Formats: sequence, structure tokens, C-alpha cells
Amino acid sequence: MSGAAGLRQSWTAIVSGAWLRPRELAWPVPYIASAGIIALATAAAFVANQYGLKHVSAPLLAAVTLNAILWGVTPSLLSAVLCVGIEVGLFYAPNYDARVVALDGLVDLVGFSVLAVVVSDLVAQLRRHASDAEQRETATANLHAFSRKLGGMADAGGLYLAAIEHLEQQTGRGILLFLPDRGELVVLAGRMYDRMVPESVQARARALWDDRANLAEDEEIEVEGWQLQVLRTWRGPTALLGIAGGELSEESLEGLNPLFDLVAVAIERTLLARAIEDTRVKEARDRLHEALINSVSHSLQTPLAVIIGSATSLQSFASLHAGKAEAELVATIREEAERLERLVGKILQMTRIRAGAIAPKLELVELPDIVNSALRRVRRAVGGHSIALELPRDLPMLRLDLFLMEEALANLLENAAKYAPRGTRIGVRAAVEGGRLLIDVADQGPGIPVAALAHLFEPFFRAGAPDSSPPGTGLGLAICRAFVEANGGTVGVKSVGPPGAVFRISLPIPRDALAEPGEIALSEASDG
Amino acid sequence: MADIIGSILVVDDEPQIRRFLRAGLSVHGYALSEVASGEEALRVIPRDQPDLVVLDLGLPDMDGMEVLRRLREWSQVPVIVLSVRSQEREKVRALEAGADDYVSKPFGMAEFVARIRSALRRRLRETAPEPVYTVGKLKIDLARRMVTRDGQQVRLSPKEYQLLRLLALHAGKVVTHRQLLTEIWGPAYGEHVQYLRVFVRKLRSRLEADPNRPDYLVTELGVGYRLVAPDQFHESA
Repeated sequence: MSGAAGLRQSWTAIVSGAWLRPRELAWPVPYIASAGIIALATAAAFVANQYGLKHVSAPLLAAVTLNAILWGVTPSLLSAVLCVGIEVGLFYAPNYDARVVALDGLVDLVGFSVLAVVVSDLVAQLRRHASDAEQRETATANLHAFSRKLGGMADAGGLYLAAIEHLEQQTGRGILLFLPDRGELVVLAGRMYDRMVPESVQARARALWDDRANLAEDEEIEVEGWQLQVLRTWRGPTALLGIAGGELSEESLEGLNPLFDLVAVAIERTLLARAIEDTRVKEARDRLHEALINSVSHSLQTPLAVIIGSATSLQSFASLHAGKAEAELVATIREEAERLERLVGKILQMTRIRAGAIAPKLELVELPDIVNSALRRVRRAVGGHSIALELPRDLPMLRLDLFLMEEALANLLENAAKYAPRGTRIGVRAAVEGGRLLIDVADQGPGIPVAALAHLFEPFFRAGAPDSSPPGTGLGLAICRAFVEANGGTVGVKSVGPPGAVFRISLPIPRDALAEPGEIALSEASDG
Repeated sequence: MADIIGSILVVDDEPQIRRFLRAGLSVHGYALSEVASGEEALRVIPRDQPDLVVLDLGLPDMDGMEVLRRLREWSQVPVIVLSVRSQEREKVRALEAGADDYVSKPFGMAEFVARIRSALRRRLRETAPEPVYTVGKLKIDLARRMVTRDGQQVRLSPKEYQLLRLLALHAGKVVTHRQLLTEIWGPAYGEHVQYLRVFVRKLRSRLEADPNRPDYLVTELGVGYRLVAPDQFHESA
């Protein structure tokens, strides 16, 4: 009876498609069940034979097929042997020629075996496909559910933790998430890993992140049992993943890749949202700063403009009507007011730099224009020096903010004039070297003390003893550096002397600097 | 006090600035009237018909630029704009809106008076152009379309001459990039500053002793070019 129950069970299994699922049964079960099915088939054959039916092999064949379907290749091959034995032993008439029996049996054995192998193999394939499909379906459903979950999360922290948790569930490994946060790389750990993250892993992750621009698409890095995985979107790397327990197999990595992509995009979304927020806050702050600086600047500069203007009026008066003493007094008022005005201007510029409110407006410009303009700006300060310009005629165009660069140069020139004795020469020389434009400002002063070198470009730093050095604010060089750097250049000391200091500005030459002659030739051709 | 040689309207909201301009300019023979707002300026100018207007760009009631634009709808009175150094980029807009010149605060009185004289003289010249313009060793004969330097004739291409002529007509005044480009190449070329740079470079190589340190054809950084007026001319060593 148990055989019949097994058959019914198997039948139900066949109809429902459940037989396609991989089964894991204790080893004797398939053999006992196979034997049961064969016993049933034998009984059926026996009954049929009683009624004179000759084809007793049909039920046995069915039994082998069924066993192949249900239990795989080994039980079904044994079934084939058993069935052939039963057929020969029970159903062949004893008066048959032994040679015929042996031949018949052999033919049946081959046929039954082939059937057993082919059917079990086909079924095994079907099972594999079904199992794959099912896994894919589950994975996709998981991914969708996870994606919906991530999409609905507004809070970045919650999103990171949810992502880590999900990855831990999917991989069965401890997960670390390394996230860029305002220049730092912070690490978040999941629940499956509750120890301290080894410093070496963190250090490696940081190094990897700093070098992310040069990272190959599918680079796999292993550090102390952690696999570091780069999460990236089309815009590039967004974060790093640390997976505990060493390298993942090729297949599991392949399965996880969509998940990694999803997490990468979700993280990028939070990073972008934060960047937008940061920009908004910065803009509001900048506007406030700018308004404040403008208001202070107006309040300081208006009285100075009035004093300077009045003093110059008086000067033209005094030269006509007053004595030498009065003229000198007026000249003093004027000079000091102008000095104060320049100082106030520098302090305001430094305030703007400190507030990060320098927004260069880049345009294609010619260096001689800037140099001449800077010289005109500081002509009073450098009036006592002779200026030697060495500007080659074929200098490339530069992409700069005119006014920032003019101010930077003016500060270098003023600095040179301040430290070098009157009557000496200040040289301004430009040259192209190694794809950059170099501008040297050389004076014939005492040079720069080596001790001062490290602090030279710091605000309010002044070389030499405070009382012995020429008057100044210590802001000129700091402003110069900030403005040159805002233009993508660098400024430094090329030579400390003696004789004389040489400051060097190095500026990038834009790629489109030389792309003009064709255009111009065209315009000349159309010249009426 | 000297004879009155012209009337000037000062538009500035700072009373101290108005006071020192009044004192300073009256010495040089100019009669001053003052207003503190743009609205007032637009009301007073048609009535008083000043010879020149000094306009501060930072007025409380109305952008100085707006005053300039509305004024230019019906008046060609010379306007000198006062600005502060941080408003460098405003200068271009002011010149294009029709200002004749700009002066950055702080400024010396002598320089300011020179600018005023220059603007007044230019207005005269523009209504009745002199045929020959001379500055330093440079002579531009507008009638005969001939340019000489140190008595030597300088050969110029038609475009180069056009550019020089335009600058000579407005000598002493900055002409903006856009104004030059529009006038010479047409409105479609208003942004092609590169063209201009190349032609200025060519002109300088023919007119200047050292094209890198021009005496005549001066660059006003970020604004445009200026052919210096005789009273602005300092030959470099």
C-alpha cells in the first residue's frame, strides 16, 4: 500500500511541477522508493500476463522512466537492471531458447539503460533551469523591494544603514561602508561585524579612495581578509565597500553587482543632495558677507575719498597762494590718506579672501595688458625705481581674471619697491617654460632672510624686525598668493638673493590660447 | 573767483562728496548744482541744461545705470560716472549705456578736472570734428586718411585705419570692446574680442616704439581701448 501512496505522492508532485525542485533526501530513500515502484510495475505486469498480454515490458519501462524522473541517474540505472532481471526471470517462458533469452535480455537492458540515462539527464537539466529561474526571480524581487525602500528614504544615515543591512543579508558577510564626507572618508559598519575596524584596512581604503581617479573598473583589492569593492556610478566612484571574510567567488560577485550599482546610485543621490544643500548655505552666507563687506567698504572709503579729494584740491590752491610749510602739510595729508586708503583696500580684500568670496571671472587676456595696468596702478609706489620689462612679443593668451591678476602683480611690484632702495631697477620678465607661463619680478634689494621664507606669504607676516622694516601691512604677498591661486597659478620665491629677491608667478597656458589665426584670416578676407 | 566757464550737475547721495566737489570745482571756474537722487537728477537736467553731469553709480533710490539710460533717451549731455574700485565691471556697462568717462574713487582733483575738460572738449569735437588729430609724434589726418609717426607715413590696412580713426574721434575716452567691434565689424561681432586684440596688436606694432608698453594706444583693463589725449600723453623712457 505504501507503494501506491508513494506513487500518488509522486504523481501529485509531477502534476504540480514540484518535481522540478532539487531534492535532498537521505540516500536510501530513492532506492527504496524505486524498488517500491518496480514492485508495483511487476505486479501490474503479472496481472496483465495472467490475462494473456504479451507486452509485459510496458509497465516495467514505465517504472524505469518514473524512477529516472524522480530519483536521478543511479537509482534509475539500477531500476533498469532490476527490471530486465524481473522480465527475464518471471515472464519469459522456461522453454525459450537460452540464447534467444540472453539476446532479448541484453537488448532490453541496453534500451532500459539508455532510457534511464537520457530521461534522468533531461530532468536534471530541467531542474537546474527551474532552480536558476527561481533564484533570479527571488533576487530581482529582492532588488526591487530594496530599491523601493532606498528610494523612499529621505534620511541619508538611515539609507546607509539600510544598505549595509541588506548587503549583509545578501552576502552573509560583515559589511563596511566607506563614505566621502567633506573631504574625509568616514566608515560605517554593519551589525555582523562588531569589532573595531583594523586601522590597516581603513588606511588602505583611504589610500584607495584618494587614488580613485586611477582605479581600474573592476579592480579587486584584498586587505587582511577584507575585500574592498569600489561602488561607482557613471559619474565615477561614490563610495567603498569592505566585505569581511575574504574574496567573493566570481558568481556571487556577479549576482551582487546589480545590488552594488543600486547602492552606489542611492549613495550618490544623498551626496548630491548634500552638495546642493551645502551650496545653498554657502551662497546665503556669501551674500551676507558680500553685503557686509560692501557696507563696511563704503563707510571706510567714502571719508577717505573725501579727504584725498579735498587735499588734492588744496594742493592746487596751495601751490598758488600758500607757503612751503602749508604745501608740505597738505601733501602729507594727501599721502597718508592715500596710504590709509590702500591699507583699507587690502584689509577688505583679505576679508573677502578669508570669507571665500573670491569668484574669478576667467577670460582670455594678454599678459602685457595686465602688466601695464598693474604698473599704472602702482606708479606712485614704484616711481622711484626704474622698471625693466622683458615681455616676448609672441606670448600666448592666458585665461585669467584680469583684475585679480592685476592686483596680484601690483602687490609684487609694490613689495619689490618697498624693500629695494630707490633708484634701483625692478625687472619684470615673462617666459614660456614647460607648458606654463612664468612671470619673474626681480628687485635689487637686500634679498629675503631664509628664516622668513616659510612665512612670507602668510597674512600679517613681515620680514625683518617690526620697527626697522619699511612700513607695510604684511598683506600684499598673502593677497598676491590668494589671487594667483584663484587663477589656477602658483607664486613663490625663485631666488632669495643677494643680490635681490626674485618672485615667480607660474600660470597655466590654456589649450585654446593659440586658436585664433584662422578666424582672423577669415575676417580680413571679408574685409570690405 | 574765476569766471564761470561751465555748469556741472553733481548727482551723489553723499553730502561730503558733494561738498568737496563743489569747493574743488568752483576754484576751476565751474558753477555747481547738486542733487542727491536719480529722480531729482532726471527732473532737474531738462530745466537747468547743465554742460556736464557727474553721476555716482551707487545711488539709493535708483541704479545710476538706470538714470544714465533714461537720460540718454533724450539728452546728449556729457556724463562722467563715479564708481569705486570694486565696481570695475560696472564701468563697461556705464560706458555702453552712454557715459563719456568714469572716475574711480578716490581720485585727485587735478585728474578729475582734466577728465571734465577732456569730456567737454570731446563733445565739441564730436559735433565739429577737427580734420587732424595730433598726440606726441603721432598725427592722424582724418580728411586725407593719412597717419604719420615722426613725420613718416604709416601704412595701415583698411580695418586698422578704421579702428584708429574711431579711437581718434573719441580720443582721451575709453571705447569699449563692444562699441569698437559693433562699429567696425557689425553688431553680430560684438563678443569677438579676439579680433580686436589681434588688430590692436598690429596697430601697436606700427605706431608704438615698444608695443608691449604702448604710449598711444592704451588698454583699459577689462573695459576697452583708449587713444590718449595730448594732455594724458606721457612718453615712456
